[in-house]
Amino acid sequence: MEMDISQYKDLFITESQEHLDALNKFLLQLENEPDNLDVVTEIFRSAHTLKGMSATMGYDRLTELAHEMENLLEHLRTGDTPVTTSIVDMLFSCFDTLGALINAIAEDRPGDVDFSGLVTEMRMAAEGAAVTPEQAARPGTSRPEPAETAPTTVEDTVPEGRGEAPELELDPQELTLYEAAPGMGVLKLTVELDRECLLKSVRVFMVFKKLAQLGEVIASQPPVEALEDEKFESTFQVAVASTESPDRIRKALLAIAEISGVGVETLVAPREGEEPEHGTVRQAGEKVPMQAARKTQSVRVNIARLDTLMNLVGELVINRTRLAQIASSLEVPELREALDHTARLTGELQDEVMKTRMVPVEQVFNRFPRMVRDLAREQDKEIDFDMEGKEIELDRTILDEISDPLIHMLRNAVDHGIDTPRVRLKEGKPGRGTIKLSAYRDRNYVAIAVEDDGGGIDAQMVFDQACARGVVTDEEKRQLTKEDLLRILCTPGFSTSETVSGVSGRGVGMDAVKFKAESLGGFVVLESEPGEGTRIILNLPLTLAIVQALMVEVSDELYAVPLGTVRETYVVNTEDIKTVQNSEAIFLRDEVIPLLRLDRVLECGHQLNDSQPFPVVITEIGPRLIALGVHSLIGQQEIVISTLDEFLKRIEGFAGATILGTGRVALILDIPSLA
Amino acid sequence: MEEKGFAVNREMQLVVFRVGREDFGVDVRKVDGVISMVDITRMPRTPHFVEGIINLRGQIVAVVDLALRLGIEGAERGPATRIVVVEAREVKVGLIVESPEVINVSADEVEASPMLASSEVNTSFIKGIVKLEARLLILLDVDKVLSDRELSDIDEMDLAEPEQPTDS
Repeated sequence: MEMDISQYKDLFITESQEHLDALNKFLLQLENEPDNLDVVTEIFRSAHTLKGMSATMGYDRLTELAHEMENLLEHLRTGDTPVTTSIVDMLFSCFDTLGALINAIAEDRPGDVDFSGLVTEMRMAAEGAAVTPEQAARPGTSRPEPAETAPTTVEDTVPEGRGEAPELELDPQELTLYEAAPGMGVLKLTVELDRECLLKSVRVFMVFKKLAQLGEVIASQPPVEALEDEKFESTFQVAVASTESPDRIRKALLAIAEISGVGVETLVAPREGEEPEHGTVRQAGEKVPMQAARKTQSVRVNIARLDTLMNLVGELVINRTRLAQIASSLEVPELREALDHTARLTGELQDEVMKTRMVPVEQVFNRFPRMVRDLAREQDKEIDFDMEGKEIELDRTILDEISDPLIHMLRNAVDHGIDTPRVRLKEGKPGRGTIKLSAYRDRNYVAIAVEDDGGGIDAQMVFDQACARGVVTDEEKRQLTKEDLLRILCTPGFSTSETVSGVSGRGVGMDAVKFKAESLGGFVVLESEPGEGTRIILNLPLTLAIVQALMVEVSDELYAVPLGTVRETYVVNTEDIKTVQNSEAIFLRDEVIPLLRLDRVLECGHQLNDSQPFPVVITEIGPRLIALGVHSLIGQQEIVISTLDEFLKRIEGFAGATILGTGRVALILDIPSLA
Repeated sequence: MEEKGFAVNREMQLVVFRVGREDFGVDVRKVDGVISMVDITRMPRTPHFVEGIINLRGQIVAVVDLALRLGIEGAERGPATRIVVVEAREVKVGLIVESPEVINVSADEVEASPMLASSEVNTSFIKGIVKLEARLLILLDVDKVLSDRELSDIDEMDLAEPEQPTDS
């Protein structure tokens, strides 16, 4: 097959990731229900698809491993080989290796993982089966193919051949709408894909893309979602409205690789040179069916683009604040009205952009069952892991950021929360512990809670230890309440201590968790009852306004300058500073730029040294340039905007504040209102 | 806040603390929480009694040096210094105080008249006086700590105190 497949790499990666997720899920299920052959079939299905996709793309090692996995699964599926713990472990290793290979492909690295040992192991397990593979297939199966060449066994339940697929039917009413359009014809196309075609959805996508250039897709059989999910054999039908000739459309489709045939049937012949009776009818003819066909369609958008959109909206929000300030000093009712409207629209825009960035927490949650399982096995603990609220959505950025904190929290729950079955039984608890990971909406926050039914934390004991280690004084200790527990656990020098008996390591990483949550504008709550368990709740904001900023230092305080306003930075020599009409200005490449020394404007004690060169940030506000004199430039970073409350909002010069990674607050400068 | 006219022997909970040599109390229902001293980010262009802003569970909250606000001299920071976060007119504000604790008083120990008590504290901040055996508590009106008059003062300060008449 001579074609450039590199452009499908991203699609391949995404799709194979989906299969890996499925594999992970079903493997975990298989571990709990080794006799469930449906689960084996599901695993087989994913392994099989992965193999096919990899072969299409020419990823030989991936194909090889998936093939071996499929081979073993075939034995399990037919019941020749019982599902044992060691086989599940093998399958898990397979899964890990597949993941590593796919990662290597994603990062354009050579996938030099050695899995020959694993293959041998799997072959032996498969050989261990009583009968030879060829005879393994049951007589009842419609096509007893040997596992080595089993490319279609899974789909066997679906009857093959185009005759069996339901025909595409169109509502005659819908068709009449097209009859009104001049030169517009409606065709029913029967597209047949190459039998060997493995990334069928890619071909479908290309067919739809081509048709969209030539006309308009009205409907398809099977429906678009089914086509995207490859829930069809090798043919599908599309109704398309177009002014192009049937022959041209047919040829255009045949030019796509792996399309073996295109049948054309004219449903509505174009009428020549006829004017539509009413403009509205025509419009309806164009719009209505399109919506019918597309209402469930979605578009994959590069996340970088959404980030840019988000940043732009962030800038817009900052500017809106500024406009509102100007308006309040002008007292023009019409202006205020228009601004209120703009404010509302900006708000809605922000909401919408925010929504496009929302993804279900499932994306991060899915890898945890495996992690908890492995950790539990390492430590000989028995743990039931429950997940709830996987469908709850969070901003993608937040989700990316909380993955590590969640790992910490779950690790802590396994390492320190749940005891070994022996200890638990002694305490009168069931030997199996439970860890629950749940996501839910709590007013303006999304809460993600990790809960265990383990030993809990004895707050008093922690306080005693904290006192003994000099973290708190005797007097302070008496005032500590349960609410202080988290803070104490997060104190450096306490949390990292491994020697504190009974509570050792409980706070490890908790400070990181706390900081992360707070830098995202959220907070952490810890609830623990000795003997009953621990619950740690990560409260995260629903919305997140992010903006790129240049961080500058003025008199030991950090300030954020929105990057959208920054033209350049530059170190100014004192001789370049001139006084123009009582104000300071710098001369830069024939431009005279007013100089605003932030130390003076912000009334700082520590002033810029006039005899030394100092950095300036040249900002561009509409046509105006303003140079900000600072003590030092820290660098560019993404910041989350926190709004100021009613009291602080009245202070001019600041567009908001942001919480830095250290937990400290930095103000976001609003340059126009500072000047 | 008009609870003084109601049931005679009702208990009320106060968060009491010291500022300088004075003892103060705030209705516990006005208190959002007590936290230890943290790094406070200076907020320029605010009245002198605003120490700065802090991150309170993801929320940006102004912190007021209560001694400066009330004009009390001789207040010092020490290990017992805390930030009591109160809710004044739906805005959270942190107050820097010493040794806060929660006590129960019965409502009839509260006297409405803000007479005497202290020559140091401006009576407009005083909501009442609580007479305990050994000491006299000033019941602080937290809504006044950031009162409207003071808020408009801030705007005026900006106009009145530009360090130097720079450009524009």
